[in-house]
Amino acid sequence: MKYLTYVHNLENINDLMNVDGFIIGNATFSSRLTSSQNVDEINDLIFRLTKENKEIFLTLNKMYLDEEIDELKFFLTNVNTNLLTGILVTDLGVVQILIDLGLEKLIVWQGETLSTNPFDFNVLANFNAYGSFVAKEITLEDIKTISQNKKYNLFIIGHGHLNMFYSRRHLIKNFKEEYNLNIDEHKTTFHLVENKRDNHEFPVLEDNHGTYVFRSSVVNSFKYLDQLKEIVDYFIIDPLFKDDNYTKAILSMYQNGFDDTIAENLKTSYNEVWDDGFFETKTVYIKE
Amino acid sequence: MIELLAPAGDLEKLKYALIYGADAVFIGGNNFSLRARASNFNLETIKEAVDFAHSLNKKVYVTTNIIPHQEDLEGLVEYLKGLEEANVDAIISASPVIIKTALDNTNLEVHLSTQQSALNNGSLKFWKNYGVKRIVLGRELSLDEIELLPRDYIDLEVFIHGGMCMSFSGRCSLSNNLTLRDANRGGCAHSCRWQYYLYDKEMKVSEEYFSMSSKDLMAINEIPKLIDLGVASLKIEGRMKSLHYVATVVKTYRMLIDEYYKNNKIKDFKIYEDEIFKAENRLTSSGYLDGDYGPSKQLYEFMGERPNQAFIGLVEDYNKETKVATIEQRNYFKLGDTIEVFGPTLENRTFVLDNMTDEDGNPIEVARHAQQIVKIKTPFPLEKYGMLRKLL
Repeated sequence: MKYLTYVHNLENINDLMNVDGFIIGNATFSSRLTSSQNVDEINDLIFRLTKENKEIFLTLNKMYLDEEIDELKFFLTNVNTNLLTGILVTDLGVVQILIDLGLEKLIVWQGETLSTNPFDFNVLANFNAYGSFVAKEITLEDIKTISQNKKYNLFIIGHGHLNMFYSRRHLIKNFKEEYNLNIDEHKTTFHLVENKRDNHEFPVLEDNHGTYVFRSSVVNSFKYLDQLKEIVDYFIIDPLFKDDNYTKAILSMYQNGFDDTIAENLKTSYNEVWDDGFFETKTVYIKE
Repeated sequence: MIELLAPAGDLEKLKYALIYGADAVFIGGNNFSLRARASNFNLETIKEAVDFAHSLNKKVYVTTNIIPHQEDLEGLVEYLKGLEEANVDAIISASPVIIKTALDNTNLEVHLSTQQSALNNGSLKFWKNYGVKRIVLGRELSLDEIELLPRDYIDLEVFIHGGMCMSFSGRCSLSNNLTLRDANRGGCAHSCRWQYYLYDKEMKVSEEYFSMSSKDLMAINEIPKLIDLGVASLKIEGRMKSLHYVATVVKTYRMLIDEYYKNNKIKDFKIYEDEIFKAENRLTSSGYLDGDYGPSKQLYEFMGERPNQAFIGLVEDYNKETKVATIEQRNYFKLGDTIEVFGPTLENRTFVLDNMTDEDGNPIEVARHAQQIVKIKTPFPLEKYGMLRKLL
């Protein structure tokens, strides 16, 4: 199982060289980034990090409109895709673009909620795509079932605040306008509290592409790591809302062993609660 | 001619939707469908629904639009073959495994559900190559953005009325996380409509509730443009809505579409808006269609407008000789009430109720029991399937 993560500050990248690869992107074409790089920076990173035997994934994890496609194609023609390991894609329209551009072998399908069974997980296998994420809301048993039938690489977000809502609307900006509030809608320090769940703080983020709401707890996989190593090809540590020191500490524990003291210190320092996500929790299928 | 597609939660609503002017209806069976718990359709009643629709040269589409886990797939082939045997005109699906199973094992036509949030040419091409005949577009597109999409190699279906997801459809797991109900398997708890406060670190930004709730979609003003664009189908949402709602909304859009085809223009949009609001009890907007998705499109006060008229009864029969209508009561009404009547072909007319008898001809002053049969002599002819509203 390989570890992938995102970088907040490129100056810290040498501190994170124990990962197997990095996910990078540009804010025009991606969402929920820890940092945004322009084409030159992206190509420099690809060149430099592949020399260090790191795998590089470009993320295009947003929904696209037709008016954005030409700019996306231009961007892709300027990125050194020859040295990329994969491109994370959330929109099947962009999957089609990559197929048309002959980049199908780079496709990593990140359908968020959609890959819940082996067939849907493998939906792009016939195109020789590189892999697919499993849905975030399925159990470890579901993931095992998918893994037993996988036809390409299996990706999982194993640690971080999982996104649970993605709207095209600019909800914070709209709220600001509706009530004449003096706030910067693009700040990363907002959270929502539901009227009847005041012990949960749901991070909420807005960028040019829309609004995202995240789980209140950070999902962690330490308890299931041995099992995941058997079935997962790529394990992503998503440090959105954290920093590079956090990533370094978390990565070290996944690679070198869990340390309760470090874990507790991290929870305190970053004011976060950890849980097991849906590894052992089944969601309900409402039939009747 | 463009298709008007209506929802139907049960057989009665299906019949009324078709009689009131829908060209097709979509229904959910009790398997593999979101809203399955709101469905009264098994394979037997689906067959009955299809037979009724086909007798009117109209169509029935069945939703099989869950995103299944492996354990949910048992019986899929048999169910799809059952739909094929029932002669349904298409299924509406979101999951590749359901679509592929249908294409491999049946001759069913497959429409792609809005749960896949298809927004661009690439998506259309991908799903066309997959074997899908029609795409139900994501509700995030404006008319200008729809115009950029091809209509020559695939049919496009556009939502024109009803509830709006705040998130991209199919990509939301608020309900999964907050209630353990899987939104993509029929369990959406509408957690986006709960009451949230926005905080910046420890500080509450406002005492007002943060809104993740959308006004309902009403595309009265956008219908001419959608017709001109050449989309295949206009879809009304709301399988859980009432009979009165379905009939009112369907008839209104039917008349609007017909006026545009006849005159190539709409004389007065407000007539249609006013009619819709006789049944619509939520605030509405044109959604994304006009390109604006700012605060005016959201609900901030958590209050809906009440309809200004109440649905009180169905016309079961009308005797032209005696001028007496047989009415099935649906809500309380009494002598002296001002009543508006409308029907599949009947224009809206009002009268003051000055007579009423029970089924046996005994005079009564009040119809207070649900589904009570009463008889009324009316000042003008009514028609079977007509509806009565009380002016409030």
